[in-house]
Amino acid sequence: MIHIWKTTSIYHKILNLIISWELVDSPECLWVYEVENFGPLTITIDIHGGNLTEESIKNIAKNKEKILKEL
Amino acid sequence: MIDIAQVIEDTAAQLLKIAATKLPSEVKETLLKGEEETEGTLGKSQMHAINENVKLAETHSKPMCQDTGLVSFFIKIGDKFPLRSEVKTALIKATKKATPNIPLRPNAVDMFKGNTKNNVGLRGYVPWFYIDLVEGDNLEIIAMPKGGGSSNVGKMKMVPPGKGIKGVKEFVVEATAAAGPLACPPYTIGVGVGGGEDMCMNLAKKSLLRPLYQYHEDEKIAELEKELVKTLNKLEIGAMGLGEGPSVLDVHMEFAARHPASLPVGVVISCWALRHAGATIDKEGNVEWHPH
Ligand code: SF4
Repeated sequence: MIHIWKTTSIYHKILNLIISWELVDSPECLWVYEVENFGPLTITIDIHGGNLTEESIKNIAKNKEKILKEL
Repeated sequence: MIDIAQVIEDTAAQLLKIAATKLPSEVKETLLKGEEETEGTLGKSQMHAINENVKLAETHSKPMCQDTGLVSFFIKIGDKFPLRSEVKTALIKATKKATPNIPLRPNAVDMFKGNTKNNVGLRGYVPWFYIDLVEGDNLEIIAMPKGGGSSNVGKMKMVPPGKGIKGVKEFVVEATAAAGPLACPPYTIGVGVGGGEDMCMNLAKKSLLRPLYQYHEDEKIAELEKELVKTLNKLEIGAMGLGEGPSVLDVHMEFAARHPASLPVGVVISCWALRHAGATIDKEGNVEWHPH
């Protein structure tokens, strides 16, 4: 089963979006995009080992300790 | 003669479509307000992306997320409603039909036989039904598809009863912190307290159906819900977990009686895509769609 949608999406205009869920025989999906005006996107890792998600996790852990003390 | 089973099937298929493609209006408004109030370009861009996505999904009648969730139905069957077990049959048929039509991602995987490809499990448990028997002659159906990502961060704990309400709050903070950036925040947090180890999770999930900002009718519980919204936002999870913007939109709690020796607490977390849709069918087959 292949669905072809003509639509637009968040950051970019998607001309043809083909989803073939059945091809991969798993609940995951495979997306084939043809896009124009791609981005801007948020990149969360850099080549210096920086990782926004890791930073956020550390900050959340620190805030959690503080909150639990004050409860 | 109207074929009531067919009406149920068509209504349920439509509810699955509404749920997948259109957020309840108060959720939409809250997300828009969240974008407006977010300081910081990183958080604002995430909120903007979410809101654009919500808008496009609705305009094009396409699912707002690639994960269209595991299907469950909350149903209330009135004493005088003409059908009983056939309601379940109709809802299963609706799920099968809705899968290619909307389309929904096939999300029912059998551990031994693989993906069933129609969102219906081979062993009779999926879609999952929460069935209640009520007075009257109506059937109420609420479709609630829940994404795997946000289900993965749900948690249950048998809190030592001596810890009381403080123990409940601690666990809610811990569970939300553990979810952190993992499950597409801003979150709505459902908390179930009491019952047994299974009931608290059921209650937690059910509490997510209550419209945002509609707090518990028991003043004490409502205060607790509001307090937790403030507390949890101090975690600074932020939109899509990047530390800026709203972390938690709302907290809903339901309490059941508990065994003297136990204090079960269930935390069920919804991602920004808090999806559900409902309708009521009377015994003649007239459909009334719930405000959405
Ligand atoms: S957590 Fe929600 S928004 Fe994120 S992928 Fe899953 S269903 Fe979609």
